[in-house]
Amino acid sequence: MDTSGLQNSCDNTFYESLFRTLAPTIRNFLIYKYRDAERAADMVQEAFLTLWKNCEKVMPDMAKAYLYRVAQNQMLKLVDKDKVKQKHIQFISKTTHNEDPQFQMEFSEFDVQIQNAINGLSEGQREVFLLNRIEKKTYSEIAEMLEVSVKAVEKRMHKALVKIREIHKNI
Amino acid sequence: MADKINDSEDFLARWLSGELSPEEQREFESSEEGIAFSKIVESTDKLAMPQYDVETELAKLKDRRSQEAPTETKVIRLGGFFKYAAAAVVVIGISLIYYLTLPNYTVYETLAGQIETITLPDQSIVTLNANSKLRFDPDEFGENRHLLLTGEAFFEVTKGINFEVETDQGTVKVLGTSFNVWNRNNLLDVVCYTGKVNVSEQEFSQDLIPGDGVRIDNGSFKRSWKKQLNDGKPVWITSGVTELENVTLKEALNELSNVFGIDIKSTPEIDIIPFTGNFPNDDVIAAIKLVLRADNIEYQYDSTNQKLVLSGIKGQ
Repeated sequence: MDTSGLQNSCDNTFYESLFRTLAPTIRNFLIYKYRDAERAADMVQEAFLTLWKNCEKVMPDMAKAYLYRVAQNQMLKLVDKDKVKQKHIQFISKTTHNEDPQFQMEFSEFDVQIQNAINGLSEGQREVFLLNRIEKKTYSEIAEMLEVSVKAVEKRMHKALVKIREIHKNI
Repeated sequence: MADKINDSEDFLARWLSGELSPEEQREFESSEEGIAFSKIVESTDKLAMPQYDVETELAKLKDRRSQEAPTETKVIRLGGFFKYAAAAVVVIGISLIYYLTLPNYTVYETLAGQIETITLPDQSIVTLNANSKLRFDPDEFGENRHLLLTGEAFFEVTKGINFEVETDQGTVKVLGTSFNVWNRNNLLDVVCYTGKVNVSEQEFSQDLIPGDGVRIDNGSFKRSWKKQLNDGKPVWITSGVTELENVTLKEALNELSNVFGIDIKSTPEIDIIPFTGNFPNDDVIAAIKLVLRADNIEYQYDSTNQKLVLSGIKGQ
């Protein structure tokens, strides 16, 4: 959408198109980072409500970064850090048959071990790794979302893989 | 092959994004490590997340958004954090939700050519140079003075508890002192002006006293030097001059862009030419000449559109 005429984020069409394009990824990102699938969808709602409340102060091209920042801050305030350590991402497999969404690939023992290893990564490594592998985001897109450098993203990707291999070897 | 992986910080990242040369890739993927990592990646390619119905969520959002009046008896469920027995509780609940969801980071950001002076909650003063960003959590600042910086800033720190500035190339820790931090393009330059400063990144750690400078390049120590300090502050503040030492033209051009907000097109051969020199921050023509003349670079500067195009090196 052409946002050149907009002064801020209060335009309803803009706000709704923002939700449609960004909400799915932000929700997944929150699960990757905080491993709390139950709260993730609500946190996305909260972030967008906060944006709406402050829409006058947020320029259209800053909205994405604003949403990511707000979502993380909110999650931090509401999630008990100790409880988060016990959280676990339950992955599902991609559906291979478009005609039958019920049909899912089964996970092998190896797959399950790798998923456990992913759950064992640090927050920073895991969020970058899954944004790249599952959301198919490039390193520069991830850098922009997380407000870090591309180099920092690459380092975390590298460390994530090294760590998965280490954890997996020890099982 | 295992060494290549252990000694590198980004080899596997570059492998995954297809940045390795065809030979490097072939060599890696036929090695024992490469086969193991390929299996891991294959496994992750099967992963997906549970369904998220955007339209349903959007409808829910629009409902909640339209609930302005506090006397609404409609109930808001928030994953069960807030009980919702009486309307009065709902009123408090709604305003609490909005209060709790305000972002808590304080962020200062400058644009090209902009310099900002900031007073932190502890009365420390930060002068933030162009195209830079400083961020900290005001709730935590009383217990731990931890800030995140990209770009350049001069810090004058009051005595007190732990004060540290984190960049993605390294962390600077201080105690009642003043120092300059320059972090651009995977480089970190720190110069201590008064007091004592420690710069660290992974296993590297060095203390700086006034006049000491240190550079970290891509995560490792590059060089240290002694600087003549004429004023108590760096020249980009006192004289409006940008000073660059032992950088490449890429960094110099980047600084031109930060100060003047101009768009610059360069070439790979020009980017790697080493540069040491200064330029004034108030005269773009003079600044461009100072950066480019020494190396006989051919260029065109369009001052109406603020575009600088470098075409090549004279005589080549």
